Amino acid sequence: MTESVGTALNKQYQPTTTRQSHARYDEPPIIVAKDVHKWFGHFHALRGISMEVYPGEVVVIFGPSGSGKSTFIRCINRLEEHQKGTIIVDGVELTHNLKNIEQVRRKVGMVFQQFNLFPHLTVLENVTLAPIHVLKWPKEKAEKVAMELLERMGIPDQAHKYPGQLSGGQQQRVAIARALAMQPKIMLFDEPTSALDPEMIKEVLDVMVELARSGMTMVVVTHEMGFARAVADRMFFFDQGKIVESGTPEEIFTNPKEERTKQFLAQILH
Amino acid sequence: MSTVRTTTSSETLPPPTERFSLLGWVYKNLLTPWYNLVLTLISGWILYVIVRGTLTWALGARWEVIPANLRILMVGSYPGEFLWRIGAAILLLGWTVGFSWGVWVRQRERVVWVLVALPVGLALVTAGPVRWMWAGTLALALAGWAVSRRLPERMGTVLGLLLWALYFPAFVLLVRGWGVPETPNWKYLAAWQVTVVTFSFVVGVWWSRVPWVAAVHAGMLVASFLAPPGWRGALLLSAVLGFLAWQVARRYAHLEGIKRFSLQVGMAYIPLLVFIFFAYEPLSQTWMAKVESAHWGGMLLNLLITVFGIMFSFPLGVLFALGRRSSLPVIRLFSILYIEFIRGVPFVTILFMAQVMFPILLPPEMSVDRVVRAILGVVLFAAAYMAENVRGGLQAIPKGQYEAAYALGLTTSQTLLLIILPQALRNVIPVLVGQFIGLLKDTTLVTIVGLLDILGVAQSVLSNPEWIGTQREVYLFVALLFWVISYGMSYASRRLEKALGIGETR
Repeated sequence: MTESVGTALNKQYQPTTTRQSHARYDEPPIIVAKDVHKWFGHFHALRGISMEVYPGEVVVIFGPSGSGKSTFIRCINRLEEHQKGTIIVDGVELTHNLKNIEQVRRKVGMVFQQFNLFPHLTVLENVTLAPIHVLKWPKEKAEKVAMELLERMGIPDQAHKYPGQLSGGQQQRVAIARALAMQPKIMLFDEPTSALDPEMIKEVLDVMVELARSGMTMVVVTHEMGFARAVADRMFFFDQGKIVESGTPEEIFTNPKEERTKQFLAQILH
Repeated sequence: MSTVRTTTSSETLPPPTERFSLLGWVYKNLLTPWYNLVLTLISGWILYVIVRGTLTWALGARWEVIPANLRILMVGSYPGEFLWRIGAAILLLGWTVGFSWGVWVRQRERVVWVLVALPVGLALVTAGPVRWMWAGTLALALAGWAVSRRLPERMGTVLGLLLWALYFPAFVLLVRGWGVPETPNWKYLAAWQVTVVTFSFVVGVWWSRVPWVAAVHAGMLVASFLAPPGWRGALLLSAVLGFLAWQVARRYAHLEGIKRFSLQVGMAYIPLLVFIFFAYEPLSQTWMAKVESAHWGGMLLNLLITVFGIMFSFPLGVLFALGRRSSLPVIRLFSILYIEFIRGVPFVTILFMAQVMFPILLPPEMSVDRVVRAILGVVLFAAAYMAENVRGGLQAIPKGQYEAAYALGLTTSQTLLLIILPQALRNVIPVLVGQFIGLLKDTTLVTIVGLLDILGVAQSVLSNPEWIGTQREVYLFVALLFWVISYGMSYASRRLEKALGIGETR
């Protein structure tokens, strides 16, 4: 690890627990993306992305803005539609078939940059909504599970407040609890800390680290390199709709092969 | 060295205080400088002239025109011997409102104003049986409030919604009447028995854990005492038979195949319905006789058109608003065409078209009632504007709300019903209520198509030689009535906004 990158990384977020990987590379991959293309009008946003994510693996995607990283993870649960290539999630291919999309969305939880909590519902209602209406759980069971999740996120006392009454960090933890309430196999994080004040970033990263340690499959778009070093099994550097480089955090931080990667890392780690 | 006092950050200062004195305020705002004094004098003189003129007129006005014509102003030519039915509808409304109050407002101090002061005030200004009706309304409202407050919240909500769902059909049935022969022939009696027994059985099988179905049978028991003599025995019998069938069904509800059996029983009932249909013969109208819509008039007609106009145009408007944003081109195009067509045509034209066009479009043997046609016109007109207002609310919802809902696996309709519409509609409550108030006032236009609403009645009163020259009194009364109702609606909407405003900030 070069001297400057090493010291810069040490100034970044540091979790308290030690590194451990739950990735099960001997099993078939749970997400398979093959040569995925996507256009917005004439803008070619994704130019042939191929990636495999294994059960229990934590994958970090980073890169400059407009590089297609958000677009790509939004394709994984079909919030965006890819126009070429295939995406298979847990054995289900994403096509125009609504049944498949429905199935995939039940297995995949998503956390957004802007939280996107439902402002007209209380925290508890936000978390129980999908289990009650999608999984058809009885209200009591949904509330019990929701309270356990809020406990895990460290905010059980906020259950009866409205999202507007919470801080950004608390809102994002509610959003994580809301996604987890559906018992997903995979969690997608789209820049979960980018809209947060610096002092709230840590509380969100802490619960994400805890989630990773529990063996959840995670695909995370983030610039939090401390988080990436602590929990990522593999990292992917996106630029101009392509994967420029991928590897373990060790490889990326210590010995990046591409000049573009080096340049970008130097910029965000300053 | 320096004499300047610096405030440290730990020191908190009290806000500056300003003593208020009336004389000081008058001096500062009304008397100085000189041009304020001039303005005060001028406006004071104008105010004096207006108040003096108004008082002089009001004290000498022929107010007796109002009480003398109050009945026709309120209900038009509704037959006097059936007025009690409107009274019953109001009593029922008192109960329903009181019950809802206990469920949804749950605040003690507000009860005083709306549930108590309003009927008491109305009882004070009225006389005779009408006064007793308002007193009864007060009693029923308080009773409903007291009962519903003691119910568990969920049960209260369900019953409250059920009450409202039943209120409007009950209102129409009461006001319109349905005409029942004093002594029914055996066909109807048999059909009635079979109906009650079949439904009791099916309900008992499918909802065996719902105990309050018994309330329906109890209701029939009560009805058997109120019904015309020829019906009493039949109602009594059906209450007993129905209750027994229901009990049997509940007892055996767990048996395998009984649900299918109950469906077969239900199917067997259909031929019976056909039989009743063909056995229909004009009934002699003695009990709950029909009151033709030509006799519905006055404020009753305005309120009727308003309430049903709102009830039907609101869901229709929401559908058109969603349709206009639909991704399906046919639905979108149809919605746009509808909305833009209606918005491009004056309301009066639509009222005329509703009166003239429906009879042409429908087969001659199907005639739509004049009042229903007017309501249809109002609904079609209001729905287009409603759609545009709701669309405004829909556009204010960020895209992230849809995405979060879809990512959780909610379907499109669940997303709309649970996430988007609750937020969008809350945002447009003020606009919608504004439109509802407009709708209420626009109902006076039905005079043009020959219905005798309150304005139509007012004109006929004024053309009566006895009351010539009382335009001011009559129109002022009508205006006041509309103001009271409109203000009530806007007050209710502000309360609703406040109640729903929790967690508004994002």
